[in-house]
Amino acid sequence: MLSTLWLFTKRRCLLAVIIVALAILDPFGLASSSDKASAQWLNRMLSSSYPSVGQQHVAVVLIDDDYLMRNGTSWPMPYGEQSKLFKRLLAYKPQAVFADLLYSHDHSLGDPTRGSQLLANVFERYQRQGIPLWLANTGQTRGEEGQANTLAPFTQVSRPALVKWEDVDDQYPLAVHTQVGLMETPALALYRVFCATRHCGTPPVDAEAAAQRQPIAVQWGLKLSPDQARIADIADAKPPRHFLLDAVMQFFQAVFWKLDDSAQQVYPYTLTLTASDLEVTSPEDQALIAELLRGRLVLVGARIESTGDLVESPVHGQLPGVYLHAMALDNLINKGMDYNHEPANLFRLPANGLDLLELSLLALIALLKELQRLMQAGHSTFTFCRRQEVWFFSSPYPSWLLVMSLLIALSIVLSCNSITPVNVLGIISLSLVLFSERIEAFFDGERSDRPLRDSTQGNQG
Amino acid sequence: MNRSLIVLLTALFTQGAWAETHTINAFLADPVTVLDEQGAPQRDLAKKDAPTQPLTVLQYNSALEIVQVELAGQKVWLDTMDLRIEPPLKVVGLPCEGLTKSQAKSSRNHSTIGFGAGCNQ
Repeated sequence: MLSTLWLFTKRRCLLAVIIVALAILDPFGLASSSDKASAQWLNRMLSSSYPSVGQQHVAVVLIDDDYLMRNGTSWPMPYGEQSKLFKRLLAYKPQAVFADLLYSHDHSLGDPTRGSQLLANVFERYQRQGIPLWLANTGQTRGEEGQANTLAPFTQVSRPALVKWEDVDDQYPLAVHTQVGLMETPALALYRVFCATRHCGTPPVDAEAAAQRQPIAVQWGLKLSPDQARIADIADAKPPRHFLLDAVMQFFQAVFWKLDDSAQQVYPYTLTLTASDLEVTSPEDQALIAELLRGRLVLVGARIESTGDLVESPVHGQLPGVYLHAMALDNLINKGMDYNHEPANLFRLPANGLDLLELSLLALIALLKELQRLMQAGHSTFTFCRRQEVWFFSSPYPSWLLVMSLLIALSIVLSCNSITPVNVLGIISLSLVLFSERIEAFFDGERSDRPLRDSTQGNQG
Repeated sequence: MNRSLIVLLTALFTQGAWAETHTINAFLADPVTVLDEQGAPQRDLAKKDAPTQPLTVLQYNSALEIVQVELAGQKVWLDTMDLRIEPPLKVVGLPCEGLTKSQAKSSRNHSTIGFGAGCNQ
């Protein structure tokens, strides 16, 4: 077996070093953009086969503009209105509640009879009934350098759940060190409640252990809950298709995204009730709502025009931010602590094991390409299996299939270890360089056909 | 004089007859939380200890959706969600409205909502 180093000139080796440096430093964010595009495409591809276990335990209650108009109220909702909403929810006995609402400014204008105490009274009832309630918390010291956080009356009757973090891109951390200490995010907090009553993957023993873990690479689901049609008009929801058909459709949409960049599904994955649904008064309707909410982990969020809390889902487009918490929780219920995640960075470098794997695959493509070129140029063979070697390099297909096989095997191994896949789209695109002569020959016509054929003969001679 | 008195009494009793008396026919929650006039929880009342006879609603605070009743000679407030009240204080049907749709990836809204009239309510 020949050492491969001498196959490449010093200049080519230098080029390889530059490519590695570019991959690590990611100038202009080109590599990151490519990674993100690949991850989003795979997320869409896998969304239709996403299991529905978590969907049966999670629900979102959404305050929307329609609710405000129906009740002649405004945003932010007066505390009295909010107290009515939360006491209605309390009557349906959810297992636990997270309110994705930040109570950072008192808008009661100092009127104690109508002030924040009205809402705090209802939150106190949650405590008395043993229903854990978390409120959104920024993790910042309130009042320091103009930073906002939950008002004191609410912190006394609820638990804080962190909703603000940085440095994890689209991923979802379990716990984060903040100015006010170590805090867990809503998904982990609710997952702990879930695990207290059901058999599930053991959550981290404490917030410190949770903070050590990698953030969740959230996988979004596609198929709507069967219960959704019982409380909402979703007649125009896209019907579920076979997984393979969906994959084909996703492939073509990814290729021709400029022509059609519509969302795969316009309705959120998590079972959603609106605040208006909680207002029902007839025993039959109340029984239906109770059936949908009793014992569930409920997240309360808002979708009010111009409030700005939106999250981008690869499957849905833009959704209210509460759905990110709901989907992360869903991921935890489905996979426990084996949730999808990226490997940790290596030795404080801005690169992780996946980057190394991608670079290895790129190096393999470069090596195969070089060997192919040398063989076609009439160079002698490199191994003792002369015939097989000649056959292997007589066409780019075996090399390409080797790369694809490795890519698939690698993806399977990574998936089994709950690690996010490598940049599949990038590797597939770059592997096409193995066909560069064929592609050139095709576009140059007969003239370029001859050298290729000649060189093949040369190899065999 | 007599005619005026008759008219007055008729008007008075007619109004009384038309005014609806709401009664609590059932306690749905167990226990039922007894509240003060601000909706703050005071104590719990086990369903088995709740009155079995219909209970007259003395007052309705529509802003907080709580009702005042007399329990063991004491006036207390209860959450309407914990009770079955006949005739209902309010009738709201299931809206069955269209579920909120996601927005396109390219959608942008460069504004922030202002405080509305509700903020001082």
